[in-house]
Amino acid sequence: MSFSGYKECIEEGDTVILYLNVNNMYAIKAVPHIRSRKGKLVENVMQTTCGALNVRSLIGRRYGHRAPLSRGGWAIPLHPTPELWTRTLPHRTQIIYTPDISLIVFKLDLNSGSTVIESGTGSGSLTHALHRCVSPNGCVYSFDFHPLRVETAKTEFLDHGILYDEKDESNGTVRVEVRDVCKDGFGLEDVADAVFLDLPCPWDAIKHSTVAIKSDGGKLCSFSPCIEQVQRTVIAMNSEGFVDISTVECIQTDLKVASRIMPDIILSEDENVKGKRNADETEIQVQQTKYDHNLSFLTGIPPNTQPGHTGYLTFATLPPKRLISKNKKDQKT
Amino acid sequence: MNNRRLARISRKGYTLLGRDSVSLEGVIGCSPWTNFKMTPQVGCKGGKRCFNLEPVIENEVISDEEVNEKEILENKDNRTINDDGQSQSLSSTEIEALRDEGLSGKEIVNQIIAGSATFDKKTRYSQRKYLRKKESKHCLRERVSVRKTTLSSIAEILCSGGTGEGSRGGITGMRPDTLSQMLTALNIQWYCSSKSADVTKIQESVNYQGTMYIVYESSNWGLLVASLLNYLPAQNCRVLHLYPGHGIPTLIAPKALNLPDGKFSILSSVNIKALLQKLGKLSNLDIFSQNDAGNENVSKLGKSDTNFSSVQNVCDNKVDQSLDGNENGSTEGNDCDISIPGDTCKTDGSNEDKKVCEKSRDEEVSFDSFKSDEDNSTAKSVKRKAESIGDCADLESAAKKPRWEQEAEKAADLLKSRRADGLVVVASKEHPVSLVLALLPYLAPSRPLVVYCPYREPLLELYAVLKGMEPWVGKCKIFGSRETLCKMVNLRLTESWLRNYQVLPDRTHPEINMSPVGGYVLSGILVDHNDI
Repeated sequence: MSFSGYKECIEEGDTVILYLNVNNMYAIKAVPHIRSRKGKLVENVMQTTCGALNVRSLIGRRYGHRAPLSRGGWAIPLHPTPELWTRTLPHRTQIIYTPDISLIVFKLDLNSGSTVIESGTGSGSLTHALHRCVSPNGCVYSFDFHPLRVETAKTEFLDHGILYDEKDESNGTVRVEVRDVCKDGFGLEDVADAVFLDLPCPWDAIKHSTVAIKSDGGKLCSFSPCIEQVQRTVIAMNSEGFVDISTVECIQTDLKVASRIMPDIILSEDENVKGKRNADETEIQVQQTKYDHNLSFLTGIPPNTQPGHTGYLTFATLPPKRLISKNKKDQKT
Repeated sequence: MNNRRLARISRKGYTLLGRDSVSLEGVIGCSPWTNFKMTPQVGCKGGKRCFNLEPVIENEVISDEEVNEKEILENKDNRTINDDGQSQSLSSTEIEALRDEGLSGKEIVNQIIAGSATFDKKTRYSQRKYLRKKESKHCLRERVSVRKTTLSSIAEILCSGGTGEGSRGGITGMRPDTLSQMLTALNIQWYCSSKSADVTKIQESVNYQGTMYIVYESSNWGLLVASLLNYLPAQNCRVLHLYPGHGIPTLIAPKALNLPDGKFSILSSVNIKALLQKLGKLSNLDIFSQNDAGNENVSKLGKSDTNFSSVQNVCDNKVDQSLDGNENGSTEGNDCDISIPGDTCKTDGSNEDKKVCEKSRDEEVSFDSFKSDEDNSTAKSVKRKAESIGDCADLESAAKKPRWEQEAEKAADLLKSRRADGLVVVASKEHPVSLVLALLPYLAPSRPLVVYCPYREPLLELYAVLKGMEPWVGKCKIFGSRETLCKMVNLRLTESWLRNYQVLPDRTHPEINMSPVGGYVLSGILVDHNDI
């Protein structure tokens, strides 16, 4: 339940991000017991590379305060955020990563109270970020044509407290549904401020998006890995009356901060060295490279390899619908 | 997309499109997306041509996009075209003269085509490119469209519009994608830990339970403040905006968002030194010792005061009262279609390439004065500030206290009772190390720190200090003990790369120009090493 607002202490059932080090983070559920493979209820003990952790001991502990591991190490239970979740979630599909998510949320002009549609749901990486942005009063519709994936996502969203529930007026905003939006449309009319498409054939969903977007207009974004998909999508957007169509690609580079030392080789002789040279040439040279001319500096080193392509993001704006219909008629005549 | 201006709509307002000045009076009362024709005004202002805006009835949506049809391959290439400068018989001055004669843009374009000896030899792509260049050079399109502002459009305009050589205006190198990454790292979200329904009571009490963010922003046109106000609802949140120096920095971006008045009640702008002094971190004497700078500010703010009166006049004539009644932060049920005086709209001019945001510069109205009536003259409060050095400890004269001191006291009380849910420092002018070390004690555990800097080196140093690396830790003055160090996890220094694409049938490629740098961001999560 911990995705809807910060809490001070970990409560039973919370999703917690267990931080061991930069490369080892795990999303776990704070429950004292789990079912073993044989179906027996056993104590929930998590084995990490730095020792075992009794998950029961986390309950009641404050977020951000470290917890001891059996082998003397520490683990830090962090409050889950959509970004930490994106880094630790179980992959059921390809997921959209944080730099793209940032740009999508930003350029779709969402804020608290907006209504946004996404398709497909996938592993729910973007869904968490959309929920954070539109809550408490907004609404996220999430569609996927894969029934099992929708079921799993639903359970997960319920678990995280972001699933919309008619009976309970809590902070959930997400509604998930099985639906082939390319074939059947969104089943929604004039409701959305923005539509996001992550589909193999996004061009088939553009006309349905036009229907779903509010009559005052709205935003559309499509994520596609291939430029051919982008080309077809842009043509579809154009013929539906979208304007301000722009395609971008965004990559974030992590710089590793490190202190480095480079010896400075002396290639010109200064006066002092010249005088002493005859006395003991070799000694002076050794001293120089070892002590006098080691230059240390702080630097940010990019990784050797990093993802160079995730997908193209195509953004477009739908003008108020009263203007488009006229436009289209004009084009036909 | 490229020719956008941010303009505050008023009866006397002007915006600059290239060398032409355009009166904004005609926009008042029109709905967003309306197209306007630029009609020449009689008489010139300082050699500039002036235009009025006249709404166009035909509702075609203006956009820069080319027609997206596949074209037939032509049997043309540039083998017969020589770059001898002789192909266009009309000179620039002749074209200007045609314009001054009052010929319409279309007529001039036809003349340009007729005057070009090589136009017919060019391929269609090349013809279109040629005309686009000429149109933008001589401002021939004469069409303007008005749109509503959004956070992303404001960011795009402010980030690309330069007001000085070499810098990207007041934004100091921050690109919108970098901004978006900072906002996600900051995990801006709403919550209320108290279940009680009486929201206003909670907000007023000292033990305030909602979301609270600290943002240090000294220039940047208030883009981070605007972002927080944009994403947070109008209740149960608090945005603490810290600034150095005497006057509150001009918050163009938050004002341009056209937020309902209620939204601004969650924002308080506090001088960082005054705040730290109230928190017992700085001695009295440290504050406002730079009197010279103070005097400068007085005169500058005095100027903006006159601006305020003009805006005020316009606001009095307000045709639509909806802004006043709109407290809930939603745009629904509120006739936002009508741009009213004092409303900020985005002008989508289709003219020149030199992007100078002069309009916005002129309209630098002190935020304080725009917001409320009580003590709205910042100039006055600055003067008082200068007088009241040494008066700070005098707690009994609460009624006489200047506004900045009241704000600082309120903020200090808040920070004594609780810690923030996020800390963002925009270190575009000031070095980040001292700022971050001074503010980090007021961040709650498991909450994010985000620092922006246009340069890489200060953030490298900050990283080294936060990691407790010698000798960098030894070099800096640390507030209190070294407890604030070695408490960050997931500390990352990132750089963003963004590329725009031209997508057209058979002509898809990355755009010719791109921004090679968008600033650097250091982000991390604060943890507590107490084992409880």
